[in-house]
Amino acid sequence: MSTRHTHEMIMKTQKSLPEYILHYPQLSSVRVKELCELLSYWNGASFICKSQIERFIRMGIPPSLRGRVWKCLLTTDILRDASDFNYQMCLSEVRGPLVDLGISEYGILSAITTLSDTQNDLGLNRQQPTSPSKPRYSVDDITLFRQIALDLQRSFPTHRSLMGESPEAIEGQAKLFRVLIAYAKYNPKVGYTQGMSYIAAVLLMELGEEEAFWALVALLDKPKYLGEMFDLSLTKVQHQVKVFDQFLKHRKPQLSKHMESVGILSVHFVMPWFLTLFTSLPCWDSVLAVWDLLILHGLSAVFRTALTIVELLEPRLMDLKDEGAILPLLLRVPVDVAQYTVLVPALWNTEVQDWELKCMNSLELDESHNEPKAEQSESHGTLSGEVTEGKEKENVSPASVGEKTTEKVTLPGAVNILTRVMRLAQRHLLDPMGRQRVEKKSSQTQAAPRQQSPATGRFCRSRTSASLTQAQIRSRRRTQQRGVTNQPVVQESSDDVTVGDAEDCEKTEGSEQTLKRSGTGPVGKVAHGRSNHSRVKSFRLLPSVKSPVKQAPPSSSSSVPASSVCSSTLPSIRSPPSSLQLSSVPKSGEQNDSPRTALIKELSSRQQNSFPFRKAKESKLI
Amino acid sequence: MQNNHHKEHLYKILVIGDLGVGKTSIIKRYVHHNFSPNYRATIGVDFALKVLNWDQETVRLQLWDIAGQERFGNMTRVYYREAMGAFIVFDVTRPASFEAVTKWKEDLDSKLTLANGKHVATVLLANKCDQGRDVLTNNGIKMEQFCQENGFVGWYETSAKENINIDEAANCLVKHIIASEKDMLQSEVPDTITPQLEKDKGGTCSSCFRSQ
Repeated sequence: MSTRHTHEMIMKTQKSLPEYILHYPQLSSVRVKELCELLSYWNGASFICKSQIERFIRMGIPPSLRGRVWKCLLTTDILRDASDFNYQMCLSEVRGPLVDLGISEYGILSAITTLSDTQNDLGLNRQQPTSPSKPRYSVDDITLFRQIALDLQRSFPTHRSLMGESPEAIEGQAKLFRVLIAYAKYNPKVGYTQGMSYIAAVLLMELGEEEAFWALVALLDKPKYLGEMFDLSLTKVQHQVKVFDQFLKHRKPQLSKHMESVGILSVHFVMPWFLTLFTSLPCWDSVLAVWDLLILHGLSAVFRTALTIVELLEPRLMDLKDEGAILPLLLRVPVDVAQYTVLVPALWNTEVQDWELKCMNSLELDESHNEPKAEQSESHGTLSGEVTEGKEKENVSPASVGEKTTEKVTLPGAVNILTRVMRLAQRHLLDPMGRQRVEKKSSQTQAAPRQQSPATGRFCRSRTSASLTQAQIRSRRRTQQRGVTNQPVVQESSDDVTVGDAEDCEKTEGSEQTLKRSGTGPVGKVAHGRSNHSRVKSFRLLPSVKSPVKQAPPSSSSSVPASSVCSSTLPSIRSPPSSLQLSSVPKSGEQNDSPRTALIKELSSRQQNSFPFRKAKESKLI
Repeated sequence: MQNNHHKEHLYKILVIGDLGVGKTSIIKRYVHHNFSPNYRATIGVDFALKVLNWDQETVRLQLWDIAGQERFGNMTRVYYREAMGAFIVFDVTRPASFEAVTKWKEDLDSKLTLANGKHVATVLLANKCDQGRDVLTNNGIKMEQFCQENGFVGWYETSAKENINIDEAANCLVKHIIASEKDMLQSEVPDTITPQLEKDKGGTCSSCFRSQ
C-alpha cells in the first residue's frame, strides 16, 4: 500500500495551477457578471435565487467569487445579527487564560509544549489545594487549547497557509486556532471534535476570519448541514452512517452485499467523510466543487457525494476480496476517481432527494427502535455472528412455535414502515411545491440531455423505494408462510432437521436450558448455513423487516393453530403488493425480482437436492 | 499457498492511545520507514498493511490506527472487532497519556476477547523516548510490574522519530499472537463433536447451494 501525498502536492496551489486551469471550467465574463449581480441581490429565502445559483454551481463557481457564494448560501450575516454572541468579545475573553498560561496562538509549537507541561504540573499537584492567586484558566481550558493546537498543523499539513514557520503559515495557524476556540466557547456542549479543524481551515481559505467563524457555526449547528453531528457522543454521525448503509443497500445491493461479506463496515470510511466533509480527497478543485454543492443542498449532498465515490469505485471494489485492499481505497480515494473531470460530472448524475433521505432516515429509526439491544453501528449485523443469530431466529422460530406471536409482532412493524415510507413519498410528490420544484429543475437543466430527466427519475425512484419495501415485506411474509406450509413436510420427509429439533428444544423445561443450548448450537448453525445462502438476497434489501423478528418472543406454546391462522390470512395480504410491483418501472423491477427469484431458486433447489442428504444427516445426528 | 510449508497469516492489530501520542507516526515508521512531523490528524480510523517473513511463513499485519480523541471512544467497539493484537501507545513526556493507558486497556478488554475467552495480546509502547524528558519509564522494574498487573505481554520504549524499538515491539507482538493462535487451535481439539458436525454439514450445504 502506498501513501498518497498527491493531494498535498495539489494543495500547494502553485504546483497544481496548470492542471487546475485545464480541468476547472472557466466562466465567461458575461456569466461572471451575472453571478455577481445575483449575489448582490441575494435573497436566501427565494427559490429562484437558489435555483439560479445551482445553475452556476453546475457550471463551476469562479474561485474569486466562491467566498461570496458560500457566505450568501450559509446566511452568515443573518446568523451573526441574530446571535448575541460576539466573536471579538469572545476572543478578548480567551486572551486572559492564554496570557496566564503563557501561550500565544502565534507560537503554536511552543504553546503545545507549554500546555503539556502545565498539564503535567497540574497532574502532579492534583492533591494540593489550588494556589491562592486563582488563574483565569481551568483544566478543561488547557485540554481544549492543547487539542486544538495539536491539530492546527495536522489538518492540511502541506498547505501554504498552515505549513511550517512562514509568516503566512503562522498567521494561518493563529486564525484557525482562534476560530476553533471561539466555536468551542460558542457551543461549549460540543467543544472541539477532531474534524472541525479541516472544515474551519477550508472556510478560512475562502472567507475572512469572522465570516469563517459564522460559516462554521452554520455548518456545524444548522440541521440542514451537520447539526448535532459533532456532539460528545457522536451518536448522530453513527446514525447517519447507518442511513448511508440503507442507501447503499437500496441503490447498490450487490456492492453492499459484497462489502458485508468481506467484512467492511461503512462506518470505517463514511465517518471521516461526514466529519471532514471530503476535505481529504486528493484533488482540491473537486473538494471545492463538492463543497459548493454541499453548502447549497446540505446533508443530502454529503450522501450524494459519498454514493458517487462508492459508485465510481464499485467495479474495483467488486473485484477485491480482501478487507486490506478495499479499505485503503475508500480511505484514500484515488486520484483517477477524485479528479474533477470524473467526480464532478458523476456527482451531478447522482441524485439524493431530501424526501429520500427522510425515508431512509425513518427506515433506519424504525429499525433501531425495534432493535433496542443492538449496539451502536453493529446493528447492521455485518458481524457474522449477529447475522447468524438473526437469520437463525427467522428460520427456526416461525416454523417451530411462536408463529402467532411472531406474526403479531411483525405485521404492525412492517405495515408501519411501509405506510410511513409511502406517506413520505406521497407527501413529497403530490405536494404542489414539490412538483413545482421538480418542474422548475427539469426546465432549468435542459442544457444537458442527461439531466433532463430528473423529474421522471424522481418519480420513478420514489416508486422504487416504495415498491422495494413492499417486495421486501412480501418476501418476508412469503418465507414465513413457506415455513408454515412446509411444516408438515418437515416432519415427514425430514426436509428440515433443525425445525424439528428446535421445536423439541423450545418445549423443554427451563432446567434443561443447557441441554437445549448444546442441542441447538451446531444444528442452528447448520440451518443457517443451509438457508442463509438463498435467504441473503431477500433479506439484504430490507433490514427493517429483520428487526421485529428479533424482538419476537423466543418461545411460546402450540404451533398448530398458529400455522392455520397465518396461511389463511396471508394470501390476501400478499396480492396487492405484487400487482404494484408489476406496475413499477423496469429499472426497479430488476431489483424487485431478486428476492422472488431467490425464493424460487431456494424452493426448487430444496426439492431437488436437499432431501436425500438431509435424511442421511438426520440419521447421523440421531 | 502452493505448498504446505508456506503458510500465510493475517492479523489485525490495533494501535490505540491518547490523542497526539504518536500512533500514526509509529505506523508510518514501521510500514513506510519514514518520519515526518506533518501528519494529518486521524479521524475515525486509518489503515496500513505490513508484510513480514516469519519462519518461512508470511505474516500480513493489518495495522488499524484509531483516533485518539476521547469522544471517539464511544465507537471503538466497531474498530476492535476481530483484532488479534494491540499496541497501546503513550507519550513518555506526558504522564496524563500514561494514566490513560489503563483506561484504554480496560476498554479493549471489555469489548474484545479471543475465541477462547482470553484477552488479545497487547504491547505497551512508551513513545517519544528520544525527547530526553522521560519522567516515567526510567524505572524499568516498576514498568514490568505495571505490565504484569495490567496484562500486557511486554513494553518498549520507542521513538518513531529516531526509529527506536519499533520493529522489536512489533516482533514481540507477532510472537505472542502466533502463540495465542496456537493455543486457541489446541484448545479446540477436545471439543470434537462441534467441528465434525459443522464440517460435514457445511460441506454438503455449500456445495448444494453453490451449484445453483
